[in-house]
Amino acid sequence: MTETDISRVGSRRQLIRFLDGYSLERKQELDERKVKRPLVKTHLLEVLDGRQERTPDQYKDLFGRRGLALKSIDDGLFSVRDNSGPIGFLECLRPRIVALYSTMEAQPLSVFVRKLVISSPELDHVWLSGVTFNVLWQIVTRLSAPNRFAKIVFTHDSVYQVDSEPETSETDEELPEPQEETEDSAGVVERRAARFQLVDRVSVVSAKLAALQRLYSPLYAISQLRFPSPTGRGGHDFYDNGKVTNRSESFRDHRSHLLFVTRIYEQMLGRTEQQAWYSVTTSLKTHGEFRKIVGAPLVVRFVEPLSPATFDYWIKSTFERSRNRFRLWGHPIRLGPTKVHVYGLDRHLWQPLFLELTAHGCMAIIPNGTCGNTVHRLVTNIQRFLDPGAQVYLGDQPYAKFVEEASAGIQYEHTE
Amino acid sequence: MSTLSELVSDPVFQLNSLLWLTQPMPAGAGLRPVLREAGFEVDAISPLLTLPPDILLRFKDSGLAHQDHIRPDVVLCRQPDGRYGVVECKGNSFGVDSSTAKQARTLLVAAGPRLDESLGLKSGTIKRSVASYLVPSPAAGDMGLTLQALDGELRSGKLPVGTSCVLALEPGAAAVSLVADGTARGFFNLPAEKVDFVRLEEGTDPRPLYFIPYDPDLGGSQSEEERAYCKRVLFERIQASLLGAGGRALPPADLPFDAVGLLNDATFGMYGLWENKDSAKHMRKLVRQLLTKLAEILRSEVGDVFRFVENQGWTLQVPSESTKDAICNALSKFSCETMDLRQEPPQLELFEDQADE
Repeated sequence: MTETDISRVGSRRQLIRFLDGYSLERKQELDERKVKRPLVKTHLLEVLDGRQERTPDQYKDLFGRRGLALKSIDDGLFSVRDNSGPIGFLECLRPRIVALYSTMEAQPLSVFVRKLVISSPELDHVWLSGVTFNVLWQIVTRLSAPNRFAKIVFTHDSVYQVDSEPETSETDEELPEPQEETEDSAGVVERRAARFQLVDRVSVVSAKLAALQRLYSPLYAISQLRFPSPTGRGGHDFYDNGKVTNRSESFRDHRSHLLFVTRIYEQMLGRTEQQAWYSVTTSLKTHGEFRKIVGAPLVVRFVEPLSPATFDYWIKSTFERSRNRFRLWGHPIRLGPTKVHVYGLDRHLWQPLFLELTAHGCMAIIPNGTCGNTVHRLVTNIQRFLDPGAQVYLGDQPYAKFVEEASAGIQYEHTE
Repeated sequence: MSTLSELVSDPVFQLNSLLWLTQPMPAGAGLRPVLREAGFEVDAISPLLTLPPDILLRFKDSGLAHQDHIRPDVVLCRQPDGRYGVVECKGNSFGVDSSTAKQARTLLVAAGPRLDESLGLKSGTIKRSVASYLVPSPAAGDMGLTLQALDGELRSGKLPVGTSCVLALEPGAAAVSLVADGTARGFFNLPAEKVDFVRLEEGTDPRPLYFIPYDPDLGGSQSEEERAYCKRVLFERIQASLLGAGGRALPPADLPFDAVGLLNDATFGMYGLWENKDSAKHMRKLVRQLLTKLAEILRSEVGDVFRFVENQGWTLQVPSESTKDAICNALSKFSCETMDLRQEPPQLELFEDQADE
C-alpha cells in the first residue's frame, strides 16, 4: 500500500471505490496469471478492552499504544500507518470486531499482524476452528451453485508426537512461523503431519467430505475455506486465524462475506460466554444472599488417547515455555502419568482459565469474564496440533451446535 | 498423594465432587453427573438457613442441643417437581452426643416441612425435601443410625422434622461410586443403589478440578496433605489473579490489591460467606503469606514495585512496558510449589488486619 493509495481515500465511498477498482484489476491479472501487485487481504481482529462501544479516539488510543497511527475517515473507518509507512485501513465491523484491509504482501502483513496481536492483550485474532469451518462449509454448499469450485485446506501437524527428545528450552513457538525447510537442513522427524488442499466442485465435495472425514480424521482440521463469490469466478479465502484473502473481482462482495462471518462469530462468542462462563451468582431471597454456581465446562474428547510420551511433551512444551502455541500459563499439578490440573491463565488475554488435561482430552472451567475467544483458540489449536477429530462440547451440548445456532439467523447481504 | 480412602473422606473433595455431579457434561467424559441426569441442579452453596421463631421456641422447650442457624454445604433442587435436597459433607459419621449433632438437629428441622420458609420461597414451592449427609462409604451405616436416633429425639420434642438420608462416596477398583441408601435413591431418582461417577486410572488421582479450593472452617477434619493441596490450588489462583492484572495493565499504572478481592476472585466469591471471623482472618493471613513471597521475588528480579502501604493496601506499580514485561516474567516463573505449604502463615500486623476488615 502506497502513500498515493492512502491519500486517494478521504471518505468511505472513496475507500470502497478504490478497493473495488483495485480488486477488479488484480482479478484480471489473476485470470491472466500475471499478478503485478498483492491482492486485497483482510485480518479480522477481536478488540478486548471490555467496552461495548468505542469512540474513534478510543480506537486511536488502543492502536496508538502499539505504535500505529489511526487517522479518522469517518466514525468507524480509519487509515492506518506505522513508522515505516502506510499499512492499510481499519474498519469497525461489529462492536467487538475490526477488519484491517491491506494490499501489502501476504507474508510481511501476516508477520505484522501476528506481532501486533502478540504484543497486545487488548487484541486477538478471530479464531475459526475446524469445527466452525465445518459448519461454514455447510453454508457454502447452500449459498453456492453446485458447479462452482470449492477450495478447502486441511492442516494438522502432530507437533507433540515426536520420535525424539522434546525440546523444552525457552524457544518461541509463537513467532515467526517456521520457514520452509530446505532439503539440506531438514531433519528426520517422524510424526503425523497433513497439509493439503482440495479443490473441486461444491457438489462433489459436498457428497464426499463427510465420508472422507470419517475415514481420515485430519480432514476435520479445516484451516482454510473459500466462499465462492456470487459475482463471478474466484472467492474469499478465510483462514483459521481470521485472515481473509479477496480472490474475487469485488471488494464490496468481499466485505459482505466478512460481515456475514463476523456476525456469526460474534454470535458464537456471545453464546459461548453465556453458556460457559462459570460464576457463583448471587440471588436475594428473604433471609439474605444465596449463591449458586452457573456455567458449563468446555469438554474436549480425543478420538484416540495420547501416548504418555506425547502427553508429556504437550505439557512440557506448553507450560515450560512462556511463548507457547496454546498461549497458556500455569504450573501443572501432576495427578498421574497422564493427568494434570492447571489453575492458570490465557496468557494472551491474561484472563483466568482452569484446565484438566489428560491423555483422553481436556476439560476447562472458564471463569466469568474470560473472553469466549479463549475457547475458540483452544479448540482451533487442539484440532491443529493434537487431535483433528476431537469431539468438543460446552456442557452436554456439542460445540458444533452452538456454531450452527449462531449462524442460523444471520442474513447474507450480497451487495453487488 | 492421599490414598483413595483418605480422599473420599476429605470434605473439600466431597463438596467439589457434589458440585461436579450436577454439572452439564457429555456422556463418556470420565465423570458422570448422575444428579444432573436426574434433573437436579445447585440452588445454593453454603446458604445461611435460620429457623422460624416458633420452631426455635419449640427447640428451647424440648431442651435439645441445637444451633439457631446453619450453613449447609449445598442445596440441590429439581424445580419442575419441587424437590429440594439439603446436603452436608462430612469426613466421618458422628454420634448423637457429639457437638456436630447440634448442627445436625437444626439441619434435619430446617430441611423439613418448613424449608420453603428458611429458603425464602413461596409457600408450597417445595413439594418434597430431604436432609442428606454425604460421607465416605465406611461411615454410611453409622451415619444412618445417628440420623435415625436424631429423628426420634426431634419427633419426641414435637419438632417438625423432615426426611433424612445418606449419600456416600465409595472408592472401588475401577471407579469412585456414589452410594445411596433407599431414601436417597428414591428422592434423587438415582438409577441404582451404587452409581460409578469417576472412572479410575492406575496411579492417577481421581480428583476433579476444584471450584471451591479451600475451606478454612475444616480445621482438624482435613489431613495435612489435603490442606497443603488445597492451599496450593488457592495460591495458584491468587497468583493467576495478580499475574492477570499485571498482564492486562496499561502502563503507567498503579494497581491496587486487597486480600478480600483476591480471595473472592480465587473462590468464586465464596470468601464473602465465611462468617467465622477467625476463619476469614486465617484466609487473609494466607494471602499475606503469598503476597509477601511474591513481593520478595519481584524485589529481587524487578525492583520495589509491589508493596504493602499502611492505609492503602497492596499496590503493584507498573511504570512502563518494559517493567510490565519484567513483572510478568518474574511472576510467571515463580511457583508456589516451592513454598512450604504446610507452614502456618505469619500473624498479620495490626494495621494490615484493620486494612482488610
